[in-house]
Amino acid sequence: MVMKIMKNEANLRMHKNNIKLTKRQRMDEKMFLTFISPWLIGFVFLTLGPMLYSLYMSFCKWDAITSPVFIGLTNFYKMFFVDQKFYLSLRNTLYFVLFSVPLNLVIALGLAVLLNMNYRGRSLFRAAFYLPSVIAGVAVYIVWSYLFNSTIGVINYFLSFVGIHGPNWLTDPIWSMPSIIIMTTTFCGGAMLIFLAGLQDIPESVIEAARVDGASKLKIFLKIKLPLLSPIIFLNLIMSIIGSLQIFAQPWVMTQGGPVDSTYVYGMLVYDSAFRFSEFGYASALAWFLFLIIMSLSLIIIKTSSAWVFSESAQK
Amino acid sequence: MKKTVKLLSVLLAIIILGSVFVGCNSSNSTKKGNVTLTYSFYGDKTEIAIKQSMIKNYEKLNPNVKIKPTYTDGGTYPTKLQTYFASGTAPDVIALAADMYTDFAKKNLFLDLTSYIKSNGLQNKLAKQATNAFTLNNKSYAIGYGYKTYAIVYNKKLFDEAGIPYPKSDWSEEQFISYAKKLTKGEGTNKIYGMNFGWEGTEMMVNFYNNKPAYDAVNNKINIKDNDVFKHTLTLLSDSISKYKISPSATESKNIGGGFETGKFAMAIVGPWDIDGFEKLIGTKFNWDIVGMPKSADYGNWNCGLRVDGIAVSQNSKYKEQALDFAKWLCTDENNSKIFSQTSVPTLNSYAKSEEYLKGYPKEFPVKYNKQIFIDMQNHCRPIYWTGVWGKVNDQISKQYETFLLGKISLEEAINNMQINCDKLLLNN
Repeated sequence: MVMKIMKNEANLRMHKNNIKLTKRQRMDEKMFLTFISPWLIGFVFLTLGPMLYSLYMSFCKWDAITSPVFIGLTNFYKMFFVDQKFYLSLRNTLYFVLFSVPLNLVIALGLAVLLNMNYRGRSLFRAAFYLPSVIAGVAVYIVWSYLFNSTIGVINYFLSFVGIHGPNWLTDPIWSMPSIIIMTTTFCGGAMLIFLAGLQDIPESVIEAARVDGASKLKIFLKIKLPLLSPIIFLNLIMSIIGSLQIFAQPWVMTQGGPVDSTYVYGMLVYDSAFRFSEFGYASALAWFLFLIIMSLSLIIIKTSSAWVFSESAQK
Repeated sequence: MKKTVKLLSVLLAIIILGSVFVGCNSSNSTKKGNVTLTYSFYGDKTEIAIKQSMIKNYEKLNPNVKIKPTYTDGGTYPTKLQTYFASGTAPDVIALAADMYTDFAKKNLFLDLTSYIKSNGLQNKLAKQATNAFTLNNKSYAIGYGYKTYAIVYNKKLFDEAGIPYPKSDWSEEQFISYAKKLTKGEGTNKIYGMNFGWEGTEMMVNFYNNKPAYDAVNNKINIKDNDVFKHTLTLLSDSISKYKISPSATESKNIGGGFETGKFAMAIVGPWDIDGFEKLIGTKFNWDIVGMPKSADYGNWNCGLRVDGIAVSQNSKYKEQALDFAKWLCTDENNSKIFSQTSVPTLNSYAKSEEYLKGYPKEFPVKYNKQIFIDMQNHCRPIYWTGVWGKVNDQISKQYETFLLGKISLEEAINNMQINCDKLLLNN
């Protein structure tokens, strides 16, 4: 009897607790919606809405003054078969991505490894290497324009000390894009910090075990640290590709797309089409094509990630 | 406690939501006879300050009118105008440049001022460019308050050192080349070039002598191939770089630390907007003056693009009468003409021909340059086209010319490519 009463009481308590949880859950949901609503409303009206409108625009002819006129796939036809600058800008952009992404990742990882070591003043170094990433981009690009100046620039001045006659960095079609690629390494601070966090997350016990087994520093880095860092590399790779494909400000400020269109990137074609030539429909089509490229590349990397990205859950 | 938290959360959400809509409200509402006009304009730092001072003056004279200004630099101004019209928030009074207004005017976005100009006698009070430059299909869409031509500025100190007489308005193209060669000296960081054509030279290239231009924007025709005048222009400009070595290319000039004001060039093409900067940056370091463009015996005077700045009224303005009054005041008030003359040649005839304008200079200006030159250059000017398909045509011409300068193609190939590619651009437009 007593057991029955206790059981009933326990059931009642559990029932009461269940009711309390459900009410709390409901309240949590309301709080969540209340706090997320400003962002959600902003996202819908300021991001998703304009995106969908631009998708419609990509099938229209629109000069931003008169009403848009639906023209079907004409903008896309123009893109692939008519526009002389489409393939040029795409080629320049892919050239930039092909070299700047691996270069920035390698430099960021290298810096992170160095900054992960234990020595005095490393916090200062960490701040120093991260600082350029937070400075306004245009100011940095203008400074680099002066550094690259073939007559009065500091880079050629230092090269002359070792007997090298520096090239016309920004005014030679061969060197203009490499100059911009070199300049972008200034901004690897963000990726560096993420790598640093990843390195610090690696359990010391694993490294110790490897050392005890007689592994060298290089082997530890290549066989243990790098695989454990692969999720971070994966993240930085995707973010870097997305950012690099949208490059615009650097060549705009430093070379205006020249010399001889050698640094005329896809972003500049989108800008010119919209704001110089008043072809907003065509510019929208270009923008959506870039979106498809970014989406495709990201999906390829995600699909292939199982082959090279270490995952604890996969191991289990 | 829970109720308080809930209340605070809702309040916080409302504040955050509300902040999204703050600043979205703009109006030129009236308040018992008071009118607020919105006025958009453009310019560099000096021009913006000038125009803002005029607004204050007008408000003092008309206490019932408030002017709400909005401005940006000249390069982004057309984009800003597009945004205004696309969103239906066009200002009442709109500053315009003659080389960017046609696309808007064709869509009837500005008030037709033809009868207003006639009834107020403005065609007689103002220089002909003031209205001609903004006339399309016999309708005038803006009133000009200032115009800008180019001239050649020369460094008197370098001329004296080289023992060359100062150029005169009737100087020839041969004299120009001869002077520039004698003025070019030095090497490396100490090199001084005889002439800087700059971006102005590239712009002038398409119609250098106002005779057989590279393209006819009115009739939509490209005239590059078999155009001996255009070929001569390209030859002259490229010879200045490679043969006579008196001028750097547009891209090379980026490597030079400085411009005319630092003594790197003995001559350069300038507009009235450069003068204020020269006076302040050069100061008393060296003396200088301006002269008109030289003349070729075979092809005529060098020509430059004509830039006219004017004021239009939006077709959808709710206060057309007040907007027109403000526009007219901006263009015809003599005090305004004095102020505008700092960066352009005033269109108000009575002021532009006066001794006060021609011989008057701000106290802080050490150099009393010859203002008549910019006025005389009106006779050697022509319209500029750079919007829409003509922007692409200009880009194509510049690109082929640049490729030729780099030695990658011959002049004939460059001309051929320009014709073919520009024809394609017009065809696909």
